[in-house]
Amino acid sequence: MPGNSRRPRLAGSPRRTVVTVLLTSLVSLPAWADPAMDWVQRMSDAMRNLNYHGVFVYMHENQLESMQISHRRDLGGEKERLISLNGEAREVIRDNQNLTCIWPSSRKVVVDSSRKNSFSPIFIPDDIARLEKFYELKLLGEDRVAGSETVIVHIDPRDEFRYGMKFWINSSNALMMKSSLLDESGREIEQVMFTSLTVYDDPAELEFDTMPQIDDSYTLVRYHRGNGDDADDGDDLWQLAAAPRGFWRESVLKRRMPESGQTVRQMVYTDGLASLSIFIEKQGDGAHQGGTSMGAVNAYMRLLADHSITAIGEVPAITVRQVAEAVTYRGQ
Amino acid sequence: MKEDDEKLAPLLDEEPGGVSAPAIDAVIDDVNLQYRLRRYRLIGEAMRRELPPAIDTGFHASVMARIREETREAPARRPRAASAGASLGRWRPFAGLAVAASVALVTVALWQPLSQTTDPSGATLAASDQARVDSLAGRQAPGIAVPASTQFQPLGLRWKVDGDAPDLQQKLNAYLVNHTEYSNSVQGLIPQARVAGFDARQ
Repeated sequence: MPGNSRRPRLAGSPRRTVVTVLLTSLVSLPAWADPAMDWVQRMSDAMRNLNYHGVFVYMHENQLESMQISHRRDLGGEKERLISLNGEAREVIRDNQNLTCIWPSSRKVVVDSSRKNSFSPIFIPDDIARLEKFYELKLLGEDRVAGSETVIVHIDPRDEFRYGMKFWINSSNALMMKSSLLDESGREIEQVMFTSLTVYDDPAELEFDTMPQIDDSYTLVRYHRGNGDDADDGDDLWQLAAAPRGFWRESVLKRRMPESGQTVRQMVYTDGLASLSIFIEKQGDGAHQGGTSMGAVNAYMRLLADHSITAIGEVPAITVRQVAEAVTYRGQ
Repeated sequence: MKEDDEKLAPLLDEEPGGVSAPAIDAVIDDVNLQYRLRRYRLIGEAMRRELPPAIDTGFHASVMARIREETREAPARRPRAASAGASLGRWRPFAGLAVAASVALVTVALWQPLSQTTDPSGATLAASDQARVDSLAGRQAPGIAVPASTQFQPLGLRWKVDGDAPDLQQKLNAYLVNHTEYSNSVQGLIPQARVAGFDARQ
């Protein structure tokens, strides 16, 4: 009898309890079948949800910079302050309202509306099937970083359209202690490593101001106010004819530069781990074309239909070039 | 995909005492459904603006224990997501919903008025911060601030470009800031470190 192969029905109470917890709680995440992915998910959540203060070094293009970060998560949301400890005290401050960048050398404060998610990306097992088409995820073993035991996760791309990554993840609290970005040949092009890190159970123990300490000599530029306008895709004349395999469009935004009234369209693409943006704006004087880079970030510019197309992201040069060249304008 | 949604519908409806045993079995047996249920619940919570400030990522011990208990009672039935790699083809049709759900989740989450928290201190601080930013903006004489693409400000001359192209540097830096903020990353602080990393005097 077919019914015999099924497990016997339990009394209503325990079964209902399972469902009740599944339904009423947001904590019900099973561990991943893939342990490497499990660590990546835990790291992503920990970086967003824990309260910590630390100093890390950021290495890129043969430069070494020391930075300090304070990150707090409380009922008011997420707040973060990152300060460069070398040279001018450049700062990036983020809270629920604003992303504020301070560049003392130019006496300038740039404020953009914050649009970070209120929680970290959530991968589901379906996602890993997609990711595994483009990356190989594996655990490389254990290591010790800044006095903490870590597990090493290697995310190895299967093609040339994305970078590889290595994460050294704290075994006890899942915070990222060290990371490396690897180019197409496996060469390290960017590294972040904590030299000290303190975690606070109570966010009240980690008080910091999220407003810049600046004087009247600074000029403020606000790229746009409010939450930005989500673009209406219905009559979108700008399309990407062919995204690199594995990349999908995550969002489309339109923003108006407050001073010029210039509207800039931004399309964000991701493969789940790497991301890039396409910016489209009316062609100005001296519009540039071709590729450029800054550390691990590549950009490629071209002109189309009197507009400047710029693809930019933490992906190889070939990827931004292919994306920029695949942009089409249906109004032509 | 549609079949999965149909399995989850009774659970999402949350009719007290009205959830059928097969619906419960389906979720207990399928790790994908558990994640999908969690996603849908998050979307619902966000729509009702009930999102918690933080989400614990660990699987609740008591739930795990109960599921293990039930699994032991029915060894013939195995979770369907035992090997993601082996079942790659089977999950492929679900990718669309996964993407759509994640986009919806992100979108809904962004609607969450975070300043309208139940924590009065948080709301006060947020309002205060906004007022200070607005005050700072108000200090600026009209016409002084000019968009990145039209006036040179030595804001991060780090891009590798030919010649002296400060306007281009500025535009790319503005794009990088926007990209950093609007793209979703598992990399934590690294995108912010990149932004803080560029310095006009290096």
